[in-house]
Amino acid sequence: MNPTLVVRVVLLALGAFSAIVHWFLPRLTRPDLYFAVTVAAEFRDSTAGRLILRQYRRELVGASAVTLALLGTLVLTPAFRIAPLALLLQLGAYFAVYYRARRLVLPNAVAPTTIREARIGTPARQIPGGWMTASGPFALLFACAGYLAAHWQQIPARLVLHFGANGAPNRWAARSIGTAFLPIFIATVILLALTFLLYGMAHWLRPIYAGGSQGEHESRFRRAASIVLLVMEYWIAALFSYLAIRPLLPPSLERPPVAIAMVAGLIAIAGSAVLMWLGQGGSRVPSQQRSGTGSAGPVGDRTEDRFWKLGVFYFNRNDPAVMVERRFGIGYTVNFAHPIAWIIILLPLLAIVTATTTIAVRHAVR
Amino acid sequence: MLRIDLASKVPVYEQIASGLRAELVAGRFGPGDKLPTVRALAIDLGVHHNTVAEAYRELAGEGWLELKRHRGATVRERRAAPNRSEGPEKFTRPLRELLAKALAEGLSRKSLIRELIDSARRLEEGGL
Repeated sequence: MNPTLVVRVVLLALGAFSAIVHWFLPRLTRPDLYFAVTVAAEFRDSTAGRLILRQYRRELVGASAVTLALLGTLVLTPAFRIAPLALLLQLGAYFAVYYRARRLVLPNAVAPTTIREARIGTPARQIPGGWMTASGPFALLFACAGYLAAHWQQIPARLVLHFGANGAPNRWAARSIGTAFLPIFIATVILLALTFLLYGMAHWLRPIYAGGSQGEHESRFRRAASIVLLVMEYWIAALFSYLAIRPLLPPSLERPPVAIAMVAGLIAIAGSAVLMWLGQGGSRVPSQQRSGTGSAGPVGDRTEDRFWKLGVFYFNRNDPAVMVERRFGIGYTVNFAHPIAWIIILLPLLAIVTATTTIAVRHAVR
Repeated sequence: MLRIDLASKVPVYEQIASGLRAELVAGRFGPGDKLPTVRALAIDLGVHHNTVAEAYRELAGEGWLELKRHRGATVRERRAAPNRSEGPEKFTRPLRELLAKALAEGLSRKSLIRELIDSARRLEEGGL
């Protein structure tokens, strides 16, 4: 299959999927969170709530029409390399639409419950499959590093450093330990960050409901999200292992790396679809099965609105939780007031950019 | 299930200690059972870990828990309450305050006595 065709199709699929997800997103959050604002559970079905949703969807359709048309145009022309910019523009436009709706909801905000609950006596939460499963991707990279070391003499003197969108190499570097092991290094850094998140989902995340049907749904969602993350980790390990040993493979086994990398996009789409189907934190539990709070005020996600900057970034110094549920979106986000959150985000980026730039500058060859 | 109310006038560490004590009196945990780590319980309840540590220290002082650094809290064998310097008056005052509040809100003396006896029985039988 033509590699550029795969890239074009995946870009279009990502754009379309993003539009669909944003259409349903306001209804996928907990019933007492509406556009990242804590409200009474019945507000979203009130006349005012429905009007806000209607306006949001109307503007979303307009934003989608413009940005998807731009994406489609770019994808069909030789300028498709800059098509990811159209995806970014699409997200920016969606954020503006969400923000306008959020401002309409804000006057209806109510204080969440002050009740907190914890289940005592249950076994500590674990990563699905335990550490054995979580260490699998690292073992794969380790084995790959061993294979490279064992076949060092067969590695060509010139190694590909960068591939174009058509799958053809367009930048090279001289063989060195740094160049040959760069894919292994990058993958290890990414996997360490993802494993931190995986651990965090088990140990640094506060359950909103400690029991009942909502608590069970929440646990199921958390487990599914962890499994999606694990699948991504295995995929990343496989992809970078392939990139590392690619110079040693016969030409018949060579595949365009961009097309392979794009499969990660499809995994993300499939994973998001599963999580949407499960429902964030028990949001799909029928209202008659929902347990009460034991005090006045909705439960929400048991965090206060004032700690959510723009409704998207959680910043609370007094909360020991490093991770919290997203208020507008599927899955989890970090507490940006926690130093560990910055370590997870910035350190891997810094390590990858430094290593790649150093090798590109020091070992580049034509 | 441990429940606390951040808006309550009762300090949070006392609420945590009371909730855990009720579980321990009810026999939900046997000697050697581990309680959640201070950090895990602090995350679950959304409170500072010093608050949870304070509650654990209080229960350890009463002989319920054994605290070991980096190993969390373990339930101890507690056959009898340790000798205490204070008499029953430690409980008389809060109980009197609670009774006054309940009577002021219109509850009958008879129903209060029945509730007190039922609650004590439920605790002894392992319920809450």
